[in-house]
Amino acid sequence: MKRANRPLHANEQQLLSLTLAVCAIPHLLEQPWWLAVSLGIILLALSRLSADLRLRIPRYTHIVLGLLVAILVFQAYKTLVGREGGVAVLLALCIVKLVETRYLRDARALILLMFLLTGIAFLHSQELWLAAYSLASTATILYCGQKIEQEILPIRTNTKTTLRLILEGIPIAILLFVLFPRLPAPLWSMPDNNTAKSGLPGDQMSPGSIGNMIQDESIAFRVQFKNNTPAKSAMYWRGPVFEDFDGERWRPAFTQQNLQAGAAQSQWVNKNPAQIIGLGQSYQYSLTLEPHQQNWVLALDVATQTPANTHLSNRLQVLSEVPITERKRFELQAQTSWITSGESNRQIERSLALPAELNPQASALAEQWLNLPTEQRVARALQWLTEGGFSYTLTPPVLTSRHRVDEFLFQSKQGFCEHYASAFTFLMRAAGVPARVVTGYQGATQNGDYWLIRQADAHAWTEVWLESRGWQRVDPTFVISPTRINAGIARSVESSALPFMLRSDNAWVRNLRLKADIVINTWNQWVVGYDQQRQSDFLKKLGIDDFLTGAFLLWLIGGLAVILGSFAAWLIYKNRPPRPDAASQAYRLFSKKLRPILRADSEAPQHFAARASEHFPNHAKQIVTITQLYLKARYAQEPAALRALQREVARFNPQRKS
Amino acid sequence: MMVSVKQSIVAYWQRYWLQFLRSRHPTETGRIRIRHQRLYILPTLYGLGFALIALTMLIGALNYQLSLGFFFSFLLIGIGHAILLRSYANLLGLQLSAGNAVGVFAGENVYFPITLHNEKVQARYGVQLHTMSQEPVDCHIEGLTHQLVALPINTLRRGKLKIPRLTISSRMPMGLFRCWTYVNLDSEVLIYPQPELNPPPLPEQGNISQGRKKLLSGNDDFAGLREFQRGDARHDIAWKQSARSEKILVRQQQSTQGATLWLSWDDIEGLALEAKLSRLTAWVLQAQALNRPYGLALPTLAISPGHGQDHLQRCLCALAEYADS
Repeated sequence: MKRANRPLHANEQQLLSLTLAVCAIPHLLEQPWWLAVSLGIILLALSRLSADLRLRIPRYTHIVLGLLVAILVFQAYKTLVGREGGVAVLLALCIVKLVETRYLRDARALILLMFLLTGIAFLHSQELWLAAYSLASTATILYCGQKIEQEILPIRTNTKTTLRLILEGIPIAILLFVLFPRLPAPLWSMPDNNTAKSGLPGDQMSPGSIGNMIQDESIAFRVQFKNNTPAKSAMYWRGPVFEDFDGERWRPAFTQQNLQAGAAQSQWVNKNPAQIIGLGQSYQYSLTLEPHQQNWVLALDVATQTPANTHLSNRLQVLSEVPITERKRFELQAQTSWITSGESNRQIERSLALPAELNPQASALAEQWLNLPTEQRVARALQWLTEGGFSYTLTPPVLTSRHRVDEFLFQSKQGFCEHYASAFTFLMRAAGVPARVVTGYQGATQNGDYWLIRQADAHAWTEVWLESRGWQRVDPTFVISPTRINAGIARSVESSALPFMLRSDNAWVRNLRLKADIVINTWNQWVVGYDQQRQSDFLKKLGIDDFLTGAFLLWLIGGLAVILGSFAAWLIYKNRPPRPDAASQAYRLFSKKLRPILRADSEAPQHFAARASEHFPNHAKQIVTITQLYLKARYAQEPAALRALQREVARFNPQRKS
Repeated sequence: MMVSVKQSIVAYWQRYWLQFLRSRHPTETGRIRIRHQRLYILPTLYGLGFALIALTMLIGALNYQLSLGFFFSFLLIGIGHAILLRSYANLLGLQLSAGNAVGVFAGENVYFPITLHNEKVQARYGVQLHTMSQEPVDCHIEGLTHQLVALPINTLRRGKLKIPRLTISSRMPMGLFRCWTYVNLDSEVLIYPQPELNPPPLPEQGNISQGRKKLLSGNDDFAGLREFQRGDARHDIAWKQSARSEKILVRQQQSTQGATLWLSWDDIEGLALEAKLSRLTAWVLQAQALNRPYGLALPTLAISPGHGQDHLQRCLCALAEYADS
């Protein structure tokens, strides 16, 4: 116990501060800036304090500092517990603990806290870089931990030991990672999340709401098709559906909020799900969704099979029961052409509603088609768009008039997908065809064996209801700019307006980024996304059907035995007694042959020879010869004597009566 | 009642433990190699804290379904295991041998020279040697070398002192585990009786009193000078002559012949056995300091008069080993 009370030296204190700084960086990056700055300043100030000064800090200082930090954290999060608040409290605790650290015992406690701090950094994110960083900070802690235990440890030895400790720990970590049973649900609470929503706006669609996303090159989701892949132009990924139009904005029939509240579920979701009859090929695929804090599972249009914990709404959307707050993987099946039936009349009527007295020009145009059959009206409208001199642009003029649809259709004639979807849906409704706006993503970028869908692929299109075929997709953008659908956004608008990654003129950077995405995707699929589902799939391949079966125990115990056993064997091998030289081996054999006379370790060969000769008088001469040869071979290092010794010993047989 | 039960359990346990130690760790001669069969390891409090952190991480990972949280907590377990092996390897294969200690007087510390041999390339840090009573001695042994440690042992009684059972322990590299073993080395030392602090003057008898007078009268029987040796009395140093030469010189006296002393057990009366031995020891030392020949007479043994280091040693050994029969 005395050792633990050893005061720390100045350089040890500084090493501890430095180590804590290394561990704290990922956390400081996630805190509100003023909290991060204040904690950073405290940390910096403490690490510069000399040991002498530190010993003179009065004891109450850390209480004052602790309270101060608690107030700061409470200011930032309005709580001291929970995910965000808890992490901040722990971080602050570690920093305050540094003030108190004077003895080896304190330093040990701090080392343990720092391990915890490093571990909980994964609450912020599970990116590849953070994993690498955490390994580095673990190494730093181990380095520091060894240094405080043993001051004279040279840097080289310490570094080497630290790296070896981590390398030796990894096989066990991998084995347990693969085999340790995952739970399907959290133990006590869902992570509370107040991170900003990203992705498609689900509450409204107004001009610009999708156009703005074109600048966002972050990844929305990744898709891997099982057997066959649809054409790129058929890849429509369905998200929010909008039905109510006020002349300026489109709003959904139910919103994210009431979806989450559960009220809408009974009213809109479970009632009369339309029947889908698939035509042509169906596609099986798995979709890995980045968290977007909403319920949409951006399934390929239209989903014919939905995974567990999701359902198909009567807007044909696949909805997750809980908002997607973590990267999640879904196995889905889709149909790119279909017929629906059995929609409710209420829904169809709602899809005809238009705000009164708005956009008279467009209404008048649509009324000209009223006497045509329904399908003809759609074709007519598309034709009108094709011939109307419209252009597809990312930077359309801002619409300001009260009659926005009119302004767009008859004056500016420049727009992005949401302008076309909005205007076309208006025309359809005015022409008596039930129609609605669907938003989601269109297209994908192939990368290795999977497809990437970025936020920039966001798209809006129209769906019309036809008596004979139910809801059908009509994409007015397609007639304006077919390349948008066939070749993607990069080919259809002027290059300078696009984000760097989507431009067609820096292929190599894009390729590099795509290669990097393969790494990230593999990481996400196999490490971060290694959940219960993945685990059971993977374990089935190993022949494990369930936990606590023979096969599982065999893998677990066998794996541990192999890893631990090989370490132990290596250890014993490294520490084995030095192998005796050839002369000693021969002599040992000779001693064995002289049983029952036993030679004590301390007995000199000559004494032993004398004793043995007494017991085996017939062999006395041979015994003396062998002893002399042994002495020559062993101590005079004569090679000839060694050979003679080995020969003599081989021939020697005292048990035989001669 | 309860107390006696508890005491008997404790006593039983202690007996059992000592029995276990004796059978598992018998006295060994020569170089002792620490083998894995006799090396024990347990986590320290710090180590248990580490395990608690790993467990906390695991529960957190289960709750928040963090794959990397799982990985990190398993990594901590793996690192803990690697540290366990390293703590074990730090002592495994270490070899010890004890040298002969120099005899001391009871009450002084005897230093057993213990050599720690490291045949590994890696250094062994933070190896601690403990005896029952003493502070642990901390040492580290570089790779492929050996290190000599003088292990102080408190002596209380005269007689043979066997080196007590040693505990060799280490917490390196991280302090999470304490690894240890017991070693019974085969090394003994003779502890001489403690010399009496203020002994009465040497027992001059008959004609010896004359010699004593002579001695006191000064340098009549001055026989020459010789070089200073350890153990020479300071008042014998010939300061004037020494100042002239390079060396420290000591006066040699002629008086030795006639002034033979008999230090006899029987001369001392009214003292306990150990006190008698103490006094004899003190006298022997005094006589040696005066460089006078002396003989020692014990009830069981008599050492004829003589002088010099060997003679002194013989007398001290006789005193140390004296057994009242």
